[in-house]
Amino acid sequence: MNFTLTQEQQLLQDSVHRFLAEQYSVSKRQSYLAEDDGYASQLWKKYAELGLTALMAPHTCGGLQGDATDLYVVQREMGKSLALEPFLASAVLSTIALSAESDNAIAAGWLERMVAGVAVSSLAHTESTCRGNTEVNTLLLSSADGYHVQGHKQIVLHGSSADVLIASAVDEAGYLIWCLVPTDAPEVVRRPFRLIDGSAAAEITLQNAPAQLLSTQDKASALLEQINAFGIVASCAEQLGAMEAALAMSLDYVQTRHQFGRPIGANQSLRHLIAEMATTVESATSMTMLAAMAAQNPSTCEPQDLSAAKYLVGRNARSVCEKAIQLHGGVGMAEECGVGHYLLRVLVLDQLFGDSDHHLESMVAAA
Amino acid sequence: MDFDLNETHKAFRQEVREFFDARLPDDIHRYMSKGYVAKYEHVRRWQRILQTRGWAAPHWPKEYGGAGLGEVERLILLEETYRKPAPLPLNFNINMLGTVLLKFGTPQQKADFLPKLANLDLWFCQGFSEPNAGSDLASLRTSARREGDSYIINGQKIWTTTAHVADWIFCLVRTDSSGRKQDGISFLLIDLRSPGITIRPIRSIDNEHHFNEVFFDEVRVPAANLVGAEGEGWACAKYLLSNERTGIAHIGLCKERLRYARTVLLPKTEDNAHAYLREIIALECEVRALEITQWRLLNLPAANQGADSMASKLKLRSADLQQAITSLMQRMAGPATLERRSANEIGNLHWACAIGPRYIFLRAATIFGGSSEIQREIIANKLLGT
Repeated sequence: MNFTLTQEQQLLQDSVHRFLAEQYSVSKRQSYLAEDDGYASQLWKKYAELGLTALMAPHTCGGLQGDATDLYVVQREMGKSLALEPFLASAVLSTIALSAESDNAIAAGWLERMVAGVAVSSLAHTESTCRGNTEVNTLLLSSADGYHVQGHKQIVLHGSSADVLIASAVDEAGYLIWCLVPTDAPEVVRRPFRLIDGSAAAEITLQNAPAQLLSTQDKASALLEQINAFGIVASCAEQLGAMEAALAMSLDYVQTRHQFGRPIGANQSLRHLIAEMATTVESATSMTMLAAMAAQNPSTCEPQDLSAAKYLVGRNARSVCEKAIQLHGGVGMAEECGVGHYLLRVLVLDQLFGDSDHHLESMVAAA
Repeated sequence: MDFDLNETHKAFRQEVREFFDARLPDDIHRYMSKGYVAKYEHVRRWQRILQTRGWAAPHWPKEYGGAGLGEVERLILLEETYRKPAPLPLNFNINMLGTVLLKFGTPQQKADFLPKLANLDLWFCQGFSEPNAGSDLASLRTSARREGDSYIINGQKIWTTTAHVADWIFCLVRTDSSGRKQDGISFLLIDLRSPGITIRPIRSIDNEHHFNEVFFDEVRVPAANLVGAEGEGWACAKYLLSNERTGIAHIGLCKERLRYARTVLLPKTEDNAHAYLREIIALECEVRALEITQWRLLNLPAANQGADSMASKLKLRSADLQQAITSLMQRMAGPATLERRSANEIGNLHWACAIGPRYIFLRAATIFGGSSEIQREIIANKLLGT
């Protein structure tokens, strides 16, 4: 039993933390958001220089082949800074999907370009904005001139600017498969929009768009499970980072803001709220570490641990980020203050890979 | 990171399970399986059986009646005790007084008391709280006046759990009222058979007799029963409280109660079962988080353990959880909890007999051992300063 990071992981944490702290402030972030793609492409190049785009990629494609703990370490820092780059979409989710088929030359080619920071990929899986609907109806059609996909994808993270999509579909026999869809084809029609936290996304219609088969019937479901497992680790870790930062901001604020001639943090009602928040963050820390272990080494964990983590972290993150706004009073409502951005981010992260309610209900169904 | 127990610890867990299966008396097991807290006689009987392996105080050195085991083995024993369920070794003896004696006791005190604490030859209770010294414990006024080789004790303790069955009491007493109030406190061991001691029961709202008032009227105590130096009592008490990290969260108890809710209560709910199951599972997730937090605390280097007031966070959340669990169980059992039943109907205990009393008794979980308000202050002090 060991709860500490390796020396390499500690170094990784420190370097990502330093890098993001340099690159991000509330005003810098607003300027990145104003860019067309919703993030600064110059900054993304630095991700590649730091090796972050290589983190989850296989050695054969120039990657570092990181595990779930490495992911936890990096994604937590993203949460603290509210980083806008397509790390989750491209360097985590798409990379994991492509890595499963890295002996496929086309997949390997994309991976190499993604690791180098010259290509960005998005995962196109969700098809409905109705809660609980996880159906995949996008069709993969095979013809003399290759494969084509026909369907409609919702809330594709960074789908607005991605060079390629890793899309789920069903083949003519009704089996789940994964395919590669380059976005420069005219048959890929994108409606770009911003999510409530300002980050970039798109609704994408695939009108018989050319595709390459990535993962076949026998492996596609296992891959979906793996994507979800790592997605849950990433989502939990980023929510943890966000709530830690929201708590830190609140600690700072209640010690500097004066009312009635003393810091508002001298009031017991606020102090006890802070103590509750810190305790809530502690539980989320434990559950995020547990999620990383459950993704990495399932035999040492309980079968429902990933769901338990996603449920509890989502609920705790919402609670802590809401309280952080309360502690800031009116200032907390101002966009330029920044504390509210953490709540906006966790609302997005909670919805990915099944929200808290979904995972609680799935544990009930499994009981 | 790695959350798995090593092979030695896995084997130890197996050894403990086999011992419990073979040696726990059936009447105790049946009684506790209904959710009752062990009777005093059960505690005494089982602790002596455990002590045949040195497992009543597994982490103590062997020369004092322990088994010389580590914190992980100690936690495994605790988890298996709750899981069975079996009686816990007496907390006052092992985790409270034992901890203090190991650190502050003289060689003579260690040799005289520790083996008897482990084998429950002496039953100790705790004399800390007074009518006007609750959360503000340092305001205590029970006085100890030095006369030759003795101290003369006058005053009153309250909320003294098990004083009516105990042989001895460890007390915080005031030996000096001239300086800072924390500085004049001493830690004293007192034989409850001493002349001048009166014990009065306080019946609690769960219809049980746990608590007492203990009155001291010119009680003579040998000065050799002073633990630590005179005036060092506050340091002893703080050490006792800050070193309590194994078992503070009662993870195993929470798990056992939730299992009872799932397996016994849920099939008996004629309506609302789905909603209750959802509540059970939500609480199981909280318990899981607390379990990991507890292991994290246990694996921290000793020097860092106070750093982020993790023990207070554990106590705070665990108390909330124990209340939430027993409250849920009371709602689930509903009408069956209304009849006031006696805990003495051995062998014929109703499935809901303990549900009501446990819920009511555990309203105290956020009050005793440092109230939740005090825990929040400790956490806030670390983050914001005093």
